[in-house]
Amino acid sequence: MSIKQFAAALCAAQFALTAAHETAEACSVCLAGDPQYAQHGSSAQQEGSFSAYLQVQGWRKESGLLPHGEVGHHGEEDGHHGEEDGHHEEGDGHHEEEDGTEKNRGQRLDLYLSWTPIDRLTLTADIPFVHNRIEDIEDGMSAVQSLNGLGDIAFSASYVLWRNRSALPSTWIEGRFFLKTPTGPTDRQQGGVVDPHLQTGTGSWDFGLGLAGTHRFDKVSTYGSIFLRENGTGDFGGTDYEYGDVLLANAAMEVPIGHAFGIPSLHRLTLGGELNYRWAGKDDLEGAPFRDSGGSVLYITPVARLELPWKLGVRSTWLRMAVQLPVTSKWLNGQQKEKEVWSVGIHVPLL
Amino acid sequence: MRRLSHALLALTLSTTTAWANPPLVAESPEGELEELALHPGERALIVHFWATWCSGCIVELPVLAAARGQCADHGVRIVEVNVGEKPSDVARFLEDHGLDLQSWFDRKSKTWRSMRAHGLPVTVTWAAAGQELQVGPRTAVAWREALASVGCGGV
Repeated sequence: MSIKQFAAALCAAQFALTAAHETAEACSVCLAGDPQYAQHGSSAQQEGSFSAYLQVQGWRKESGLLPHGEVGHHGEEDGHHGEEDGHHEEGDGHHEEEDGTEKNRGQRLDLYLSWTPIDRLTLTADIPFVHNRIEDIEDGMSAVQSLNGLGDIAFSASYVLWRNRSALPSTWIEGRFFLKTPTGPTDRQQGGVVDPHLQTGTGSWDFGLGLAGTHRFDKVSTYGSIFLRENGTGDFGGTDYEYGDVLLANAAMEVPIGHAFGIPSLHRLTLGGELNYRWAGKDDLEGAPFRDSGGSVLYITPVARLELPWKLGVRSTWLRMAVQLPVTSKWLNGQQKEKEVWSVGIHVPLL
Repeated sequence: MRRLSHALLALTLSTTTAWANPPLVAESPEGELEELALHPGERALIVHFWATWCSGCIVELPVLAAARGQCADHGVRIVEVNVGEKPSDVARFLEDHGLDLQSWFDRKSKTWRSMRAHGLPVTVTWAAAGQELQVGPRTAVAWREALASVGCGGV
């Protein structure tokens, strides 16, 4: 396959994935799934390894409007949001939703850099570039705003706690630590308003802990992980907003088709499926929970990985495509609706 | 047909690269740690890293065991190094499979990791033409060609 043919195939795949998602979503800080599994089959690498994984991911979300009276206003220049002051109420400690809908669409480009300096320990940095677009629909009028830029850089460390052998283990359990820094801006105005959902950063230091395990059978690899993330509070132009804490659980299996079925022509293809579960607590706006946030969602995720013919060392470069299909949106709080999340990534081992 | 498929698959899965080696240290069958290197007067040294759980390795071991004596006569030394397993387990495995060879050991996999090969079996070849690292299994035919290329033909 020539580079031109490959590029055309990639574009076609992306188009197909994008076209399939009329409304897809997950909030920007609590996307379900496990990018570390997406990169490596798990985060464990052999000592001395260095790899890069570049992933683009897209989603859409629909929910009630944030109470704009609580969100930082700057000046009187806004013709649309300025009229919405006073719509929110705080009678029972919850922020009442405004009469309207917020349609949130986002894309992320994440560069994951992973290095394994010593046996068992892998360090990963995630550098995201984020594009968020929100359409507020209220009283038959709509206003569209968008922002893009650097997101919050995150670091994670994984350590293999147990493995069945030191060389190419087929079973292992690893512990993970996660730290997200507030590098993305949180105070950019659109229409005179600093909308937390529109910002490319969350303004908070967040941390997480998790466990992951893998077992490789002869023809199938299985994987499971659980991860708990505690989010801090961010300052959005004078307004405090805290995204709800998150619990993620994943189960996955992969089958290398060529090996499993003895078909040499398909030896580059691996197909798999995942179950991605997320529970999130409600977001907190100025000390009160925001009704249209949090809850649970379960995705069924078909995955295809293709080994590419180019390699820098002895390890192969992989292309990965996945679509997270939500089982239901009923477990989400308030008026939230989430649908598919698509992702395409390329994993390049550098050392 | 299935055998042919597996042979093709083995060929497509294996990779060979020119290689600048770190010192390869392994434990001899006598229990001594030694550096594996080309000795004066030898035409080639082939170091083959393997494990009992590695299905590709098991296919290759009989070929190497059979070639070892004849290649030694041609100045080509073949050394098998087991990766990460106990000598007692390895001895039992070799006996069960009727393999007449004395394997070396890389008990903690340190030497194997130092090569950053990311796979097994791994074969390192020192010869006049240079050093070469092969990751993945070879078929019997491919092994005969590889041995012939370093001066041990007709095995």
